[in-house]
Amino acid sequence: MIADKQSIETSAAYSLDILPDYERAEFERSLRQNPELAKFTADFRELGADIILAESAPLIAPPVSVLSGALARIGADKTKPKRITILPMLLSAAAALVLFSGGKMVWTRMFGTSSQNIATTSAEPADTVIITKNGQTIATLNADERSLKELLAKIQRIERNSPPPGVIQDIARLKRELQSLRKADAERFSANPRVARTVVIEMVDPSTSPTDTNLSERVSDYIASGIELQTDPEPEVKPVSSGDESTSVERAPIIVDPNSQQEIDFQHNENPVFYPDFPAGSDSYEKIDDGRVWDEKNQMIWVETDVPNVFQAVHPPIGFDPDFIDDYLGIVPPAGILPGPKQAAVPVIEPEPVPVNKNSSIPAAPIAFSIYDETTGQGSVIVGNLAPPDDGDVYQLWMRNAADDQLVSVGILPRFETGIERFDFDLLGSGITPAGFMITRELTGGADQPSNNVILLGP
Amino acid sequence: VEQLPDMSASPRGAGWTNPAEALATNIGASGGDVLLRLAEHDPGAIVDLYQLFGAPLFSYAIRILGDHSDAEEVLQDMLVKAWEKSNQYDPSKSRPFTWCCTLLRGLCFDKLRRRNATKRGNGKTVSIETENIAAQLDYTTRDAREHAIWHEQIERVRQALETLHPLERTYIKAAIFQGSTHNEIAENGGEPIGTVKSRIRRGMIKLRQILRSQRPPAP
Repeated sequence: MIADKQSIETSAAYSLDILPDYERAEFERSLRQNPELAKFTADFRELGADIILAESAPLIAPPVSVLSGALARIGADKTKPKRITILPMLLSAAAALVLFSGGKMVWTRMFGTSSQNIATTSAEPADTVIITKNGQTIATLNADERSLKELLAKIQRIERNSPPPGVIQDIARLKRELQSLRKADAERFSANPRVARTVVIEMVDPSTSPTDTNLSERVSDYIASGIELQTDPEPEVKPVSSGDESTSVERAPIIVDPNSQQEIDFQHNENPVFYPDFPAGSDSYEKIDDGRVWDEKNQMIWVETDVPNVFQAVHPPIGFDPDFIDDYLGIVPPAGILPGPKQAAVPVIEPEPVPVNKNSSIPAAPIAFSIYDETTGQGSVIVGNLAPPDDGDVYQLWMRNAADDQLVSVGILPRFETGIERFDFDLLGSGITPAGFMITRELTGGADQPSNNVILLGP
Repeated sequence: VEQLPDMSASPRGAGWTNPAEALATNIGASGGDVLLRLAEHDPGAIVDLYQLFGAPLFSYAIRILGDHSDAEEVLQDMLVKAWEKSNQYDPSKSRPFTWCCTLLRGLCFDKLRRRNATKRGNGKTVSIETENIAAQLDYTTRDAREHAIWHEQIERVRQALETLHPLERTYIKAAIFQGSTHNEIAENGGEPIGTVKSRIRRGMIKLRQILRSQRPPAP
């Protein structure tokens, strides 16, 4: 029994982490010399945890984004053992994936071709805007509120300088486009899920008459003088319409020659989300002595790394090409397989995002991660915010086999309740080396080939 | 269609695991396995840790920081730190939950310091005194199942806290949730520092006596 009141008081203060530093060191020496006091203090510390638990109620479940962010950051840990098989990031499928972290960083990936990527940093979720004129990129910016305000202010200054009529016309259209974009973004980013995009605003020359051949050049100069001149390779922008008006085309910018790209992954130094496919040796990138890469275009530093160790799935967007599997696999499936009569009977249903936590500031969107250990053949798929399937339906897990790019059924997910769930699978001896995964909704009993009811699609 | 395997029959046992369901009544005694797996850098252990302790730790962070967004950030930092520091966890010294609380607490108060608040919590810290916990438990969606597992422990501690003198209770909570030092508590409470120390000591001893009789002592 410890009879010394002062020791007990110090022990209590130490266990509650309120002991001043100068007393802490001395008390820790006492703990090493006095096992009884150490035991007593450990008990006090446990009490502190008990009180934390009791007094932190009501318990609030954290959003899945906390977990996904931690997994992504852990994926950057180069000290981890290499036994975890890293699956390549999904490079196909016409979807835009945004990894949103803490409301501070937005990473946009446009699928379709692997070279069409652009990373943006922003204080808020925001589109990337590419402004082009006659095929030339004249400005690239993040369409966050602050950047757009600054750009609009610059445009107003240009207007005050009395540019030629053609320029005024163009600038007015650009202003309208940007204002419209701001409005649309405000609505879109308040919705679920947060998905940023890359928008190309093609300033179509209002006058194509031979008498004014220099107008487009002057327009570019004027706009660039107020913004930031880019020297990207000429993008092949095909506007939706042409004529005497500007058009917005939602597409990915061509930042580099796709044929020159190399398989290199980068991660942002502050928000280590993997971001592959930027080419080495490009004018926009310069390797720093410490191995990191300076990205001139985006004014950021990337850290070169080997591979990601967590792969992630998101739901394909509305309007997604139902023949996505062709793209996903990169092959044409045998005739008659997709969709089969069984699958065709099941309507394509958009999964309902389910709020995990009504108090969370981040909307809950269906999401999945997978981890696979090739040495044991065992892996896990972690699914979050996914509503349970309706009666008569099941969720079925598929793996894309690296050897032949075929989708192989791994099994049917047992029924679960809304929230975050973990499903383990075992591929030992199956001969399957997963290179990607997806979850589909099928009729009870499952399907021998995946239907088009893709719920989550991941690399 | 050939009958496909139900993944609940996978060789790993339950197929899909919900560690919270496996929690013993003595909350926090579980999780040692998770921390050991973290030390082996098993990424799945992070998921289990999140499932085991995510809700109470997140709630604790909100309580300290008074802000959901900051709490999310700090909890994520804590998960990563647990991954990095798990090899330092000594099961003979504390329960896993206690160890996680210690990590989180440090990060929370670091965050508060970064805010450069003139006063800890900057007025956002919620009231120390709470109402009936059972009535406040957030039984939304499937969290109800997991929260119910914590419920018994919460009630036990709450009842034990109720036996303390109101000032003993207040001072202990001020230390835990506001990081207040003896001096600060004395200043705010209008009592001599010696009295504050005595109240905290007596309160902690009383709690220890009550709760220790209900659960095994710290390892």
